[in-house]
Amino acid sequence: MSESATMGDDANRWVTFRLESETYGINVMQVQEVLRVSEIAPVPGAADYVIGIINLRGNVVTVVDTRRRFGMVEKEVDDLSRIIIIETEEQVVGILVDSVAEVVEIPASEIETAPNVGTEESAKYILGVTSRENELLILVDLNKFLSEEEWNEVGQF
Amino acid sequence: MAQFEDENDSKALVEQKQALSNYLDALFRELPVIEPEPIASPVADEVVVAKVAATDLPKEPVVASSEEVTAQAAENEEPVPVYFQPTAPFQVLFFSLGKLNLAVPLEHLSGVLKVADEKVTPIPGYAEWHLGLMKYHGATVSVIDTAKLIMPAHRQDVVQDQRKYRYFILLGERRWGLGCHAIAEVVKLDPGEVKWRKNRTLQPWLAGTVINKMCALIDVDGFLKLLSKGYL
Amino acid sequence: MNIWAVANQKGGVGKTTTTVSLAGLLSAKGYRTLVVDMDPHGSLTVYFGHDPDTIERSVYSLFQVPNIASSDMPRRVIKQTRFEGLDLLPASTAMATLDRQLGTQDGKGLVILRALQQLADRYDYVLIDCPPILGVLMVNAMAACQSLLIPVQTEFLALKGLERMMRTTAMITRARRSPLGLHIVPTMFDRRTRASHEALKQLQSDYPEQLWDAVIPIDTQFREASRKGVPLPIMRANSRGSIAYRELLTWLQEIYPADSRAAES
Repeated sequence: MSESATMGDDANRWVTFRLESETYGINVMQVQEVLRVSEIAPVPGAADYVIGIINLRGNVVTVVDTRRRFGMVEKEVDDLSRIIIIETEEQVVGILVDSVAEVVEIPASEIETAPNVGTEESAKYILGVTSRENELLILVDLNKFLSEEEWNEVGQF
Repeated sequence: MAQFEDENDSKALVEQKQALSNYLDALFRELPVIEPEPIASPVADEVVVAKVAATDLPKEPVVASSEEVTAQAAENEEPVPVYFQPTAPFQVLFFSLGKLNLAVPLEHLSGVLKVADEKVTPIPGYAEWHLGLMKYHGATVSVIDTAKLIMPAHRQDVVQDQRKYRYFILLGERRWGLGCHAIAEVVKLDPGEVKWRKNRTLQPWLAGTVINKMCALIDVDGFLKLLSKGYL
Repeated sequence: MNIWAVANQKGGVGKTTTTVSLAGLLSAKGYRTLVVDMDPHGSLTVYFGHDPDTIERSVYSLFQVPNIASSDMPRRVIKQTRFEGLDLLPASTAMATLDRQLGTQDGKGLVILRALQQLADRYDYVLIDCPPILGVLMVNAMAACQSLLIPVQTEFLALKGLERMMRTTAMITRARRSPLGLHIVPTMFDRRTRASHEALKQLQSDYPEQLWDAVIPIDTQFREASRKGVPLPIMRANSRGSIAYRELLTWLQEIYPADSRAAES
């Protein structure tokens, strides 16, 4: 990270990850840690975006398949796959992503509201977009990542 | 993950494991002691005694309180859902369906049956997870395709196995036999080793997660209710 | 008060020798020591000059008391030995009937723990010699102790028995619900034989965390000491076996120093 970054302004820092060919960002204040993928224990239940649960230092954390959640085809876990442990107002959950890249600093002024294309569904959890090195970075609102009902489902293990 | 030692005698095996577990538990279970005067020596065990007292007293309620209970039941017509959440250590049997591991409290288990050539008679009109009826020691057991019951169609890969069901876990006084692929050990759990579900209106048959084993714990009553509703 | 149990489901591994030697060393160092004989066979009791067949008050008596926690029987069962600072709770042959007598009576696994708790202000160390059978006596010993010493001969057949002992220990630890220190002590090590060395290597590979990092060698002086009813470290301090037990004790006392409290149940 650049040394000239403003101290203590985590609200402007985003952890970026990749899914398929897109890059997404989630606010660093909501990221607890990033883990390599170890054993995810399957659980009974209906939601297709719930992969299972992991034991994080004695705590049960549900792991969500972000691809499935975003309506993409799921992918085999490989060496680059990571589980990002995020903390929202509701609870702590793990999200499985293809890979994690760097933490970037984005001043609020550079965030544009996403144009309202696509389904209602996807618009819900997109906070905004920003251009970065010829790439579009999609910023995700983790609080809206799942509906209240879905958060309940995820939190039940 | 589920290990299995003696393939030939699962029921006896569960009974053996349970016998040992029960034997040891009984030896460690202290009944409340009524003291005429306090003990002089340093004894740090009042907590154990008190904790044990609540759940190890006989199941039949003492006369006084049963009167209270009936009075209250008469007033209060609405059945309050009682969820499985013991306050004292309890035994569970671990078993598996494909890659999915589950735990069931031993208290509600009527037995474990190994599938040999038990004849299962399919009954037309029953739910698709109901494999049929089977006679076992005079009881008529409803045989359940557990995988279909607890996992939706698109997640069947998790609970399938190239083996067919080899064991049936008998619940509800042998009325239901849940097919599974393997059974593992009987373990005594402390309630603190389980992450209990707070809101159980969704899927009331799931009591919580056994933390060290990362597997779901079944609420047998909730499960039986689900099964009973499944009848056409 | 530190309570150590010495156990192995296999007999002849050096349980009594270990109990006697460690207790002898402790009392010689000035620690108030109690040895408890939980084996109906009574080797420990015989070692200190009593007869399990005719002894009047023994560990058996502790199980006959309706409420051990408030009884003064533990104090009345204590026998002094010839050695200063070393007392004995002797065994009686009648203990062999306890499993049948007690069945699975609730709480009968905690009798010795309750009895020893009453003696907490009298002793710094308690060593319990366990019977070789899983039953109410072994369970009592393992419920009472904070740490378990498992002596195992350094020979192939003994290793198989050890696996079984470890499984039993695991079951009892689970029922006990409090942590138990576990230490495997290789005994009867004969440095002249390849078998001893290989058995030791196997132990090191199978139980790296629980294994003590030295051995108790065979020492013909053990038998002589037993005949005289004297712990070897007291009879002959510089005998090979004495030196080894002294090392073991030093190692154990680092983990369990004299002022540590008895485990909460």
